[in-house]
Amino acid sequence: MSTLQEVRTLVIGGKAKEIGPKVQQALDEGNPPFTILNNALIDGMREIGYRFEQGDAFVPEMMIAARAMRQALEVLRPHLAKQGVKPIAKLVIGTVEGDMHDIGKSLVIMMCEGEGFEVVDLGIDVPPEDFVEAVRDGAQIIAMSALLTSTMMGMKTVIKAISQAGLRNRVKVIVGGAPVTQEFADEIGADGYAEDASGAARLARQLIDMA
Amino acid sequence: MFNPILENPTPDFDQLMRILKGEEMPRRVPLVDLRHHPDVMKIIVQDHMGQQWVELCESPDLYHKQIVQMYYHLGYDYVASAKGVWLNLPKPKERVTADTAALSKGKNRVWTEEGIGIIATWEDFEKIPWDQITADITPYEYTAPHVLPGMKIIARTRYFADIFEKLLGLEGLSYMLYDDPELVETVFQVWGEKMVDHMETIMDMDAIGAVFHGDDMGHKTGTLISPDDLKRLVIPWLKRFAEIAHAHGKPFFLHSDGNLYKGDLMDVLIDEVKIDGFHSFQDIIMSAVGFKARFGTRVAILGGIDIDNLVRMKPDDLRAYIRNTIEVCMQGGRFGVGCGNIVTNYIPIENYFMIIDEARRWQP
Repeated sequence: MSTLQEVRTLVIGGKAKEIGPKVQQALDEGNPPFTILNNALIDGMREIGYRFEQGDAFVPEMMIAARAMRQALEVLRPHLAKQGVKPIAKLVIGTVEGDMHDIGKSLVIMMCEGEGFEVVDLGIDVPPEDFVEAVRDGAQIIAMSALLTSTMMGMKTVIKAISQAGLRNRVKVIVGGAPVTQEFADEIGADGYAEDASGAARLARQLIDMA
Repeated sequence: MFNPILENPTPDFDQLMRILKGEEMPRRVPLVDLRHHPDVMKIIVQDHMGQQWVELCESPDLYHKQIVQMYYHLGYDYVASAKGVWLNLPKPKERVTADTAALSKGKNRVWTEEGIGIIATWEDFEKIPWDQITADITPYEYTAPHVLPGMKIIARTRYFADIFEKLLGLEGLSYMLYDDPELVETVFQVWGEKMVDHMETIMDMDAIGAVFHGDDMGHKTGTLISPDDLKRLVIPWLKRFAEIAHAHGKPFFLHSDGNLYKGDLMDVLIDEVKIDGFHSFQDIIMSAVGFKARFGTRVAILGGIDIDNLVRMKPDDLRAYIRNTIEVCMQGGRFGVGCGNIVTNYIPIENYFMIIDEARRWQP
């Protein structure tokens, strides 16, 4: 097994303690940092996301994989910076106002970071004006999450606020959460809906690629 | 608006149990809900029963009495008692924000802490005074004297939910399953033993006729932890709790949110744990009608009316949806209609009453 394959396997297995030295080994062997990022780390996160979608991985497996990915990036990030490798886009995420649920959001963050996005987490219970401000600050994707039928209506408020600020054409808006459906996403004028974290990362990537 | 209040209902808890266990073909549609949000109960008691609402802190006795009266006059065969807290358990972290629900009137909503619980290390575990932790059963004791003829209390218990919401936190549990599996197993063991003691205590109470055990095991697309981990850590304890209930001649109903339908988990719950009924239906995951087709001859369907539909459907569409759910699920019995989750304070109350209205209109 090549060192890159070993790094990928360590991401999938969530081996945070072992992955740093292995990434360093891959660098020492002359593998370009961008290749390590794409072919080992991002590909490993995609694989764990795929397994999550298929029902072969669960919240714990996603969380330890993301922890390993973060550990690997600690080693890799200075080398990526030296080579001028930048995130593919800036994604700003938050749970809408009145809602304090964030496990789903955390999983989306992990998968989007794993996909190569710069992710800014606005946290939970986020008022619409904070999302608007994030668009002004350069967010290319706004991702919103809600757990309850009563709070998901806040997503519509955020999209309306972004439109009223004259910023709607600057940003793509994606939504998700327990009660959210494609039909609801269409109804409120979102650009996309994903059923789970892996789907959200894929959707965000597609929207950026199409832009 | 439809008035759901009955002057002289005739509750029959024993018949309800026979219907749900498939021992009697129903001639009526029983009402089954896990519980009502206090805002909902207050509206019903004040605006529909014409009584002054009494807060728990004002009078525990009158508080519980009014809840019994509410269930009675709505036509339920039982009262869903308030769940007692665990005494002497260190308080877990909670998140609080303004409640956006229609009936909340500016109050706050408390959310589960999803991060780290009160145990993150063995040191945390050792610090907890386990032998002093006991379940508060006073809600049952206050309720019991007020239970009306023909009614019983359905007790509410939890196990796994307490572990991932309070003791370990879901993030904490997730990491710990890989970082310190021995601590995970120890916590599940200790908490399981606590729950067994509690279950033995409440099943001995004559006023309690059944258990509604609430353990959310899933999310929208799957289980929170792997089915193998659930089968190893949770299922054996659920089986034990159900055995205790059954040994006392009392049914064991299970409430769990989430998608438990990938793999054989629901079969395990029905065949091995021997749950008598299942509650929590979200149409986006599995509707009550879909569940009926797949499992309806083996276990009772409890509740079944999707919360999102109750909140957002147009009245005519909602009525047709409720009517269809009742029509399909009543075939062969083993069904009690109610909300797919708790009767929350963001459901328009007239839509909740529509369930009761449609239940009363049904004819065999």
